[in-house]
Amino acid sequence: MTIQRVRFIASPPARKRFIVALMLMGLVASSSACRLVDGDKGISDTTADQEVAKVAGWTRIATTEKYLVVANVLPGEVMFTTAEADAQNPTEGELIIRGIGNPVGDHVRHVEAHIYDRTTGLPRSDVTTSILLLNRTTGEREIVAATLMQDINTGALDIHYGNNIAVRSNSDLRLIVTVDGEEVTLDGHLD
Amino acid sequence: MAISTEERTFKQLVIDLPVGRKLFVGFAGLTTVLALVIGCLFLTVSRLGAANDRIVDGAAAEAQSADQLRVAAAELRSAQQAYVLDWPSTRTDFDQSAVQFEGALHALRRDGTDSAGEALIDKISTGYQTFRTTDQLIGEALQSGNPALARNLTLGAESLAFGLMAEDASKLADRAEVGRLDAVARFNKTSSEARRLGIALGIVALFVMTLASWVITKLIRNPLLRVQQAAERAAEGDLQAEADVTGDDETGRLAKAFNTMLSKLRLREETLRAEHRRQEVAGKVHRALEMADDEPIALEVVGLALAEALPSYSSELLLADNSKSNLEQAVVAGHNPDGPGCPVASPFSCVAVRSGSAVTFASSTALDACPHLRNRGVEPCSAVCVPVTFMGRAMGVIHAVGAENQVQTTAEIDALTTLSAQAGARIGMLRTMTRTQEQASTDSMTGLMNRRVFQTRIRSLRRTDTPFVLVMADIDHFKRVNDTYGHETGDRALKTFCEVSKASLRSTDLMARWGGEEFAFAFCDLEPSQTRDVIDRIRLELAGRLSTSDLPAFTVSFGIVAADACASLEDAVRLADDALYEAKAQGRNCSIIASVPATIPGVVATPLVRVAEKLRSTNPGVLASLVGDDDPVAH
Repeated sequence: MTIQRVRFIASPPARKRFIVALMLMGLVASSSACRLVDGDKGISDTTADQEVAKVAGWTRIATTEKYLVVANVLPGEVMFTTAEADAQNPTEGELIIRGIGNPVGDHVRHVEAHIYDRTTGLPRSDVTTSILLLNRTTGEREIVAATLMQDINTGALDIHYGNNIAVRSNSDLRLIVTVDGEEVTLDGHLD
Repeated sequence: MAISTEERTFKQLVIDLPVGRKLFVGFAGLTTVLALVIGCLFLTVSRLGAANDRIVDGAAAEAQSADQLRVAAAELRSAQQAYVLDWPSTRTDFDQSAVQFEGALHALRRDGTDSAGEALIDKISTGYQTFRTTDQLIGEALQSGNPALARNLTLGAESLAFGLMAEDASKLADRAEVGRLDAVARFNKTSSEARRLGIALGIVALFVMTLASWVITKLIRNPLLRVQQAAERAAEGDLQAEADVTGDDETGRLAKAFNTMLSKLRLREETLRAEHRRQEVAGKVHRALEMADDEPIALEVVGLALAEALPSYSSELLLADNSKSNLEQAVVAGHNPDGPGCPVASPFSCVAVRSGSAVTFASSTALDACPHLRNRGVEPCSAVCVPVTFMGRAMGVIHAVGAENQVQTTAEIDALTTLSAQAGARIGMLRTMTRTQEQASTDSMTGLMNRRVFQTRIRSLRRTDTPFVLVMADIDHFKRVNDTYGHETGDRALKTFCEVSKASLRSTDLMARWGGEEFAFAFCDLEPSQTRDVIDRIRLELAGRLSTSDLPAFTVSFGIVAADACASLEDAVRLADDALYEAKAQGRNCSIIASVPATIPGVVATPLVRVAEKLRSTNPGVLASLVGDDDPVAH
């Protein structure tokens, strides 16, 4: 290498220019080829995971003796208090009716349970509800704070319990929802 | 130097390739590169085009399916609400819409999409299942006659499931459309980059081909150019202009042949130059020797030539004397004024003379050194000896010594050989000429000049107006000595008279054997009377010599005349002759001075002349008789 460098330094200016031009042309050609080859990838794996996290989720329905439970695992949603909603006037998100809301972040999903009365078909907001999230892939258990809330746009028809909680992607999940002592189990895969 | 294949570098191997093969390999390589580049370009563009087409087509199909799913979802909801609100009515439309929705969902799964799309499809699928479950509950509520429950479920749980499903279907359609547009954009971008790559590869290929052409041209042209330049320089006379080509191809072999030719030409030129120098020196020596008309001058020339030919040597020329048996130092050249001092005594003792050619000795201490060199008692030295001959006969030797182990060059030995031949020829010729001249101008028995030379010399004295006295002498009764004591005694008598006479002569005086027992003298710048004194002294000396020798006693008569007073040389001879006869007539063993008569025409000659005339008339051929052995008066 040293010998090559010495030879290069000792070579005439015309030869140096010639070698440099040759190297630049090779660099341009190889760069173009690499860009063509890598062009299909476009988005990295991390970006793909984030894209999946933005849309992944599932919807399940189950019934107890008195209630119809529709559980959703959705991408994380911003939860606003009434004051925050009044101040910010958001166009999407959840309005907290009772309880507290967790912030959104990486791997955060919005886990919610809609409770309907089986006799009337109307949503219930006056029941005692608990939500247990079991990650059957990792064996982790999390209690989802059952905050009462509703979609900012839909309003009272959408009233439900749930919260934002971190859930790993590509997991088999089980939600155990207890409504006034009546328990339902809902399974689903989160991409 | 031959280089084995294993030792050759790649560069050397390339250089050694024949020119034809270089061209073939070069242009085959160029064609291959060009074909590869074109093939790669074609393949790349084709594959890129196909890949882009698939991507665009897939994205379009996905967008279409997602749109169909969205439409099917809307129709499904509409059909479901219709049969709920218009109960009891048929579910046919709802079921058809459900089939369409499921078909669209299946098509989406079948066509495939990215991971986010898959997640959306999964989510839509679970939403659809919830939707169908709520629909079942709604159906049961209707069957049980509870339309209020059915309506509330439709507006509540089912609406929730549908809303999520429809929202996701819409998202999927939007994503698919975005993906399609992105695929189109990427297609355009990829096509543009493919064009740029094609151009770049084309430029690189062009550059590589140009470079390869340049290299091939350089490989072929540069050596040829060097050979051409060397040939042009050689044509201009520069024989050192060798072609600097090291390869083993045709050009390399041409260069080697050219260099070999130059080498031979240089050698030939060097030989010619040496020969020219030798001939030049030889010519110079020859001219110098030609101008040398006697041996000392010739020897001086030889000395100068020796000093020039062997400047770092001490040299000498040893020449044989007239006996040809003794060698003597004739010439010395070099830094040693005494010369090498070879002690060889005779030509026949000299190794070089015996061998007949030049002999060299690297060291005087060597076993095979010349004995005269080894036993000389000087410091160790080298030597070269060249015989000097004339007409095949040894007459000497040129001997030169230098530092020990000093190698004499061929040119030096050639120069010495040439010099020895020229010196031998010239000196031999000069000696021969001298000998011939002596033989032609002297009397072989007495060593005196002969009559012809004497006449020439006295004519010369008259031409230069040098006064001289002419004397004619004749041994008295010489025939009697011969007859009585023999010719050998007569010869000794003649030689004795010569020796005695020459002892009394000055260097300017001349003496010659006129013929027989008669002699002639010429005394310059003397009066006749003074001459007679010299003659008398000779007569006395002769008498004294004879008195102590075994020769019989004899006397000599002399006729004296002042030659410058005579009208001609012939007159002087005649008067001296007459005076000689007068001396004979007066009893011999005396000298008579002739009276020179006036040279006026008509004047009567003197009595002495008359006597001479008388004698001549009574004995014709007086002068002729003087050449003979007999004494005319004695008859």
